[in-house]
Amino acid sequence: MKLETEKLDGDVLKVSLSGRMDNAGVDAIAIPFAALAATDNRRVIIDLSDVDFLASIGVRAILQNARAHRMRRGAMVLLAPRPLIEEVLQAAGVPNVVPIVPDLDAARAALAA
Amino acid sequence: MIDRTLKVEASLASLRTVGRWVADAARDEGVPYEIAFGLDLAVHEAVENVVSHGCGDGAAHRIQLTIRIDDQRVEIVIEDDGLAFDPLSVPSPAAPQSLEELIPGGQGVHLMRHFTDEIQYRHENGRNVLTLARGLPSAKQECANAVDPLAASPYFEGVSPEVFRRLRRAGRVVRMEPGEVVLRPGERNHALHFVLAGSLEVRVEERSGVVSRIGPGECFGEMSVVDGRPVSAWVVADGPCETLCVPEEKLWSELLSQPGFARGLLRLLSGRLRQILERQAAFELVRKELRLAREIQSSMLPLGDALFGDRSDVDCAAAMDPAAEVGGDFYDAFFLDERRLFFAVGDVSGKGIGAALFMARALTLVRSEALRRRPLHELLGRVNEALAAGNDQATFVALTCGILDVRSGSCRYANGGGGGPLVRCGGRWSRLPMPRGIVVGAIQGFCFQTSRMTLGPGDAIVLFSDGVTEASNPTGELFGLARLTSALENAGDVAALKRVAAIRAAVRAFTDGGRPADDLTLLVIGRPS
Repeated sequence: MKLETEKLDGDVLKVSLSGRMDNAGVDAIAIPFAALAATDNRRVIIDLSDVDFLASIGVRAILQNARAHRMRRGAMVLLAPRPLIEEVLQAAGVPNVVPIVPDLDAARAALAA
Repeated sequence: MIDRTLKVEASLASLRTVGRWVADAARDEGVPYEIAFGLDLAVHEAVENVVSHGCGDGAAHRIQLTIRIDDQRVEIVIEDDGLAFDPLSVPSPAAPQSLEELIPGGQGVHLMRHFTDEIQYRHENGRNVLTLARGLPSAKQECANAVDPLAASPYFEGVSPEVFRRLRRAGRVVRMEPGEVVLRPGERNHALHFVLAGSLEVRVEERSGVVSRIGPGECFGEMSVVDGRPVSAWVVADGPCETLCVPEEKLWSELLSQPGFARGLLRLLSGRLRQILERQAAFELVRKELRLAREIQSSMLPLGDALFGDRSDVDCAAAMDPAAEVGGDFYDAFFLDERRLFFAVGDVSGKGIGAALFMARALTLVRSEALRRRPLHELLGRVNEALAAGNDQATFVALTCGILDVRSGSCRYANGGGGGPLVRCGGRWSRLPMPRGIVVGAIQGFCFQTSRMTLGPGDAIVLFSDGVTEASNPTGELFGLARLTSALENAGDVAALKRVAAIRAAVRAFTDGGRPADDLTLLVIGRPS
């Protein structure tokens, strides 16, 4: 699995994940993904549109990361997951604590709130 | 219907192998993607549980997985020889309420339950046995939803579902983005492509010239698979689409022997052949109409090569060799009265039917104005106004016309942009200086002029269209005025018909059998000595 970052206007960081977010996939991105929360990224959009598989370990990684951002008074949103990925996130109760948004405008609005 | 077993080492490194194995089995049996996804996830969670909870004793353990798929359901059994561990005893965690209080983890079993219909655990003979099951949409429902466009295709009517399952297994599903090229001319193709969703276009060019469209239930690539020759046309995805790509060796070795399959394929091929024959018939009809148009057009021109053979006071011959099926050139010659011969050569811009229709109109206008005895500049002016009015196609005619008094040799002539004819005066050929003029039908309100000259006994005038001077040889060189002049000089002091023949022969020799690019029109008028 791959992780790419892109600075957007308004001090927002977009993190694009792609591939299979299973045990091996999460392993592959563990360090750069954790590093995002350790640095000064106050507002983060996790773009899930190219993630084609998500296991509980991936859900765990997302939630831990979101928590780390919250601890540093930052915020995170999840952008455009595919329907089955969204079903996994829903089943795991993720939307209760991390907003899931369909597009960049909604992402900015959720981060500003 | 499949029943497969996989044995792997109980380690996290085996998870990917297991995932691929589940996905392959599901795809081979045509299990819908969302069900395959859920099973992949449930098995991933189950195996991860076994590795991290049941096999933490340091010993090497193995996991055996069995997948069974039939028409009703998918069942996956996961067995291991690790410590007894019932994953179902792990309580599902409450959904997280706030990030601050979040204790991540423990979602695995919950997700397994979410994405399966049934989970059972038992411990037997010292082994953990976990069974996951998920029901499949019923065959009837599948039919109603037309899930398999191949089965719904009229070509494969009556072919049993088992054959389609084999077909699915023999091929792989390929997804394509709009504009993606699947086959290009000249390439080798070793697969038969069935369209499952979306449509593709067969094109003559990569981006244009659509010949036909291939939709769900149809296939392409069959010709190059059957005859082994390179692909003959572009096949491009018209939008997002999905095909089943079946390698040719599977087609020959497995599929053609399946009941009804070969017949379905032949139906498909003959359907396509029929379509081509219908198109060919329509094409022949157009060709026939073009031939008819050509005949009508020829019939509008004076008949034959030698004109006015019954008169001794004029020697006149003409020829017209059209380049396209119907041409835009014309010539005309007729007596206005006992001694005054009206003549004209015109060259309509463009080719084909449009040019031919314009030519018919121009010719009719020229004739009717000439018969009204108008001075030539006025004749051109009137024809120009008539043709230019409402001429949105911007078609025009390059026209040269004149009136020869065959008794006195006095000749008036006018220039409608046709370029000057060649005249023979005193044994020498030269270009006739032309009065002010422009192509006819292009610019309204233009004032044409008439000039006059005298054609002595034994002299001649040769009118010709661009097709003569612009005929090109294989190296791209043009025939030109100089070659035309020498062809006439070489012919010597001969009758008009022989002059026409000499020019045609010279042009033919020069172009070396190449297809003429433009109509070739000649009109030769001489005064006998």
